[in-house]
Amino acid sequence: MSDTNQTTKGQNCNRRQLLAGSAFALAAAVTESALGEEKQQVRPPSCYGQAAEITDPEVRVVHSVCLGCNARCGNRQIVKNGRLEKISGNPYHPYNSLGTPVAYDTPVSQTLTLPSPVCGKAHDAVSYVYNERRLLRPLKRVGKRGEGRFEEIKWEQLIKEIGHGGQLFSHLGEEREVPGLAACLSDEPIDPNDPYLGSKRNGFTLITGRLQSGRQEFIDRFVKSSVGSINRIGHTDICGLGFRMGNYAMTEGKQVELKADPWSAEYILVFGANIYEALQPGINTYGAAVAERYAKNEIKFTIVDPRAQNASVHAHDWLPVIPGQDGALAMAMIRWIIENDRYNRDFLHLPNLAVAREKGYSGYANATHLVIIEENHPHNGQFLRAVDLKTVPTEEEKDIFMVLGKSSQPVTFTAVASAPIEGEVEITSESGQKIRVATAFSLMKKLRSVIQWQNIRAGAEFLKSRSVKQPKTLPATAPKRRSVNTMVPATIVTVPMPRSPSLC
Amino acid sequence: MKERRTFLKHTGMVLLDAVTVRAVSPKMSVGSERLSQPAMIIDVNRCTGCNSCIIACKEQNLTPSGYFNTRVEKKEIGTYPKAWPAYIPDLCHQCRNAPCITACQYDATFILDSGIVVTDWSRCTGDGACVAACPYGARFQDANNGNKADKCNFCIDRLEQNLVPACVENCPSRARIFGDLANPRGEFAAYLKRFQATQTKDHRQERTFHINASKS
Repeated sequence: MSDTNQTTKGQNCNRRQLLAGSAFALAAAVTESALGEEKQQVRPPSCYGQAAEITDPEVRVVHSVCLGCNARCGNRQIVKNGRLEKISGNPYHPYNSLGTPVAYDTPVSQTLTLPSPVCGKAHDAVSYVYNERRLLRPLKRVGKRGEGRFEEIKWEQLIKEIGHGGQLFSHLGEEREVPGLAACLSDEPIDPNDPYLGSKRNGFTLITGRLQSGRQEFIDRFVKSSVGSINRIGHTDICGLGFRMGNYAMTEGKQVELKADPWSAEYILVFGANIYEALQPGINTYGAAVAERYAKNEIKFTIVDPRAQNASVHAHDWLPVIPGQDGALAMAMIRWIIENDRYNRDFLHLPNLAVAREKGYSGYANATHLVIIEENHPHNGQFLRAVDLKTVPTEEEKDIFMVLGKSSQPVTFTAVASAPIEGEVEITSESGQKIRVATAFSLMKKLRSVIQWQNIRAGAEFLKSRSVKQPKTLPATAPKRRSVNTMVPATIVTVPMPRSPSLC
Repeated sequence: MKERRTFLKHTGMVLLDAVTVRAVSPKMSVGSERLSQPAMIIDVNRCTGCNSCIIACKEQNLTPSGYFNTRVEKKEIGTYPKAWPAYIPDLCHQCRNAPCITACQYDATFILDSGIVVTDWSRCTGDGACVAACPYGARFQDANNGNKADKCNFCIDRLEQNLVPACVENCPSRARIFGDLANPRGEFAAYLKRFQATQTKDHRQERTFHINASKS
């Protein structure tokens, strides 16, 4: 009986059929949903909210995207007589159904009965929209600063006062002259002695929140095109930029959205990512998938975050790292791995993807790749590429990395099936230029600058406090600073997460 | 909003009356087979603390501000730095030996054949005795409706429409598993078995079960 009540991904469902089932079938369909064949995700037949509302001619069903957090799950809004009444999930959206949305061409009339969960933030959006404290009109201060007394003013007055400035609070006895935006509309330099600051137009800065689609274009039109300032600042640098730049560096610019696979990973080290709160692809997918697998004992994860975030509830461990010291912790872990010889030596020796694939790995590491450590070289601190050795290089040679071949001569990274991970030598280019190079792994192993070492010590102390075995050799005092200013970690190139299209 | 609430409570009352009649009259009790013996199993190992259930329930049941038919209790376990939060979704346990039923002098709260404990607002005087008696804090008095007692009834009007309770439908990680005790099937059956294996004594014969945290 339950068969008729189940709908699968992309399969058409008939509402009448769904509603005709008995409570038995209903319960069965729900409870069997997670036990069915793994690839055949079965949906419980159900109707969104009050069934009566869906047949109500005054009700419109609007499909949109939630902005309760930046994961941006899909939502489905019930709008009655122009008022937003309820929000649920959007079954077409890949973020709402544990990664198994209904086929996009399924008619809406057939999906109205499908449940598609969203988290509490999404449901609560109605309260934001109709919150009595939501600012809908400009307010101007009428009391002393901090008193919290404001009055409503017209938009025309707001635009005039912001545009032209003046003694805007003279009615409160304040004689202060408030500069207007017009003061920035000048091509005079901000400081003639510092031309890098640009014209006075740059004195106008707009700090915005997330630059979601459409918002950026609109804001740029005002800030950049209209005022002529370069200073439109988003918030990404304190949000996901570190994560993305890390991925960018790790994949040589190929991919910025790498995340651990919540459906397959057996262990995830979660560094500053709110997987039960907001991380894309959202709590309804990423968080829910991790939680479901955690309940089945299929996954373990550790939270590295100053805050015991929601996901600490199921985490194998919580590392309350000091804010800003995540990197130190990571370096300490790498150091421990190196000094205790716990790295996969065979893997690190593989210099390119083809040989790594042959050995059954999905990615390869750049541990063997040579890095230029010649202070006066224009590419000091960067990977040695074929182009650096040639007098007349070809365009392709810009992207060819070098590793150490036999007799310590550089060879292209695709020419050998294995290369040393340790080594520091002086090589000679075609033009006779001497270049000092070292493998990325060697540099990682030798990191000794004062700052790096202090950080590593901090991380090691931290690990010690967590009863993790400490690195064997920890000098009592920091060694003298070396001139190596490069920090090229031996990294593993991984493949992007297969099932979640990320939009950011 | 108020009009809508009144309307819903009205509808709720009609439905409730229908169910009551069914429970009392043997002739009509055939209908109650449809509901059978609903129960909910909550696996706290699946709960991410997203609060979707709470708000979905409020949207469904229009409970007054600050009062909840279901909630997610948040606890802090351990001491820093070996500490973590715990999220425990909870709601009325639909006890068979329900303290709230005994506490009510007016027979306003009683149990249906389906095992669901309901309150008849036409009898409820709003004296709050049942609220104080509930060991789970699952009851409250609705100030918008003459202080009458309210609590979760597994979304009985949704069950009538063959819909699962709102909190079950809206849980992204499927932490609430709803099924029929009289005919446990699929995942519900597996969970029920697991729960019964760990159960020592169920003196209230409840209908809401918790699979406790595996982390300790």
